Amino acid sequence: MSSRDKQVEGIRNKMNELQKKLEGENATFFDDLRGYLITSSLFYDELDVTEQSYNVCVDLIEAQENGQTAQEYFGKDSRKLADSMIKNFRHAGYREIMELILLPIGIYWAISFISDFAKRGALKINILEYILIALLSLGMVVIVFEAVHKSIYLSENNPFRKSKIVQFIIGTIFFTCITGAFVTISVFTPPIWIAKLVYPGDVILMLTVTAIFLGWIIIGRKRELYSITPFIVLMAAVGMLQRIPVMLAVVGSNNIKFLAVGAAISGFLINIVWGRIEMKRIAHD
Amino acid sequence: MSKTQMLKGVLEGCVLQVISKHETYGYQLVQELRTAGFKDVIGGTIYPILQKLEKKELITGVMKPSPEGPSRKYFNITLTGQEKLAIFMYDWREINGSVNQIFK
Repeated sequence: MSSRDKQVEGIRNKMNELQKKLEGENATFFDDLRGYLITSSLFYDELDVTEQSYNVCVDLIEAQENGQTAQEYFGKDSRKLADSMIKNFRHAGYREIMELILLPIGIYWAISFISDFAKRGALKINILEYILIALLSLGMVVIVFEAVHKSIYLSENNPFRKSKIVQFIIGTIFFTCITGAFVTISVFTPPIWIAKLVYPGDVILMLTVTAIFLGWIIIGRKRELYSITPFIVLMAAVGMLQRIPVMLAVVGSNNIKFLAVGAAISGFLINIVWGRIEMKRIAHD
Repeated sequence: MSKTQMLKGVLEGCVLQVISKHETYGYQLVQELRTAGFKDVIGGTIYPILQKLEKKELITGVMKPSPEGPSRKYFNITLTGQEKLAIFMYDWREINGSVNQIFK
């Protein structure tokens, strides 16, 4: 973690503590403002956004202690305040933007690669498929950020803001469409550019990718990605079993098919259950 | 022209003037402006001004422990800010003089 990231985390932790002091409409005001500013920060400097949110929080607490409400102190239109603040945020640096773009792409590429490895035969990478996956994962991040950002200041009567059921239905439809798009890409992308790798090169590459990916999640304490680690380990293990001749002979080529399907289903289910638990923990913290 | 529109250009200079007198932070600044007679001034107007002034390097903000609470960002005027303030004062006196002359 860079010193800048540590600084951001330090301010964020302090702000989380301070935010608990806000009461009633002040708490709602700040909650909305903070969410709106954070989801606008895709291409803005994260330290600037966090620092400005912190300043608002500290001043709002002082206003509250002096008997003022958020509306009396900041004005009635909190969205206008947020939009004016966003206009003045510093833009993110080239490195930060690249990190933001490469992060979702890297995650989906690693998952796709590990899944490709679990298939039988020589390792084949469909380059066009990987390009489409990159575009889709990037598009997905932008859409999610934009949707959350726009939904914060929706009118109170808007069904999306009012009803948890509507939120759940739209969320489910969205993620089903995204999953469908990933599956469609994986199944229907024509094999125009294929990169092929045979044993033992495929196993070495696989071990390297798995080690880097797992190391990045565990050492970097990426809690939101913990739940995907069993899936990665299981798929990698199945891939290994299929490619190392001695192991394949021990397990048997018929059994390996069942093992592959079992590993994929178990990994997926663990990911869903553990993912939900971990997300609740993160939200609580 | 509404009062808010008239205030828009003036407020930046007033914020610079308050900061030039002493180091201050957002909430204190808003209270000081209200005490000075800008009764309708709200945080929603002042925060973007502070951001803009900081971006233009007319003021600098430093996180410091506050005697009465958590650490907060205190603002100080820079040399460029002082120059800008001097220009604002000159322009304001000129405008004020002309307006007074017309309304005499």
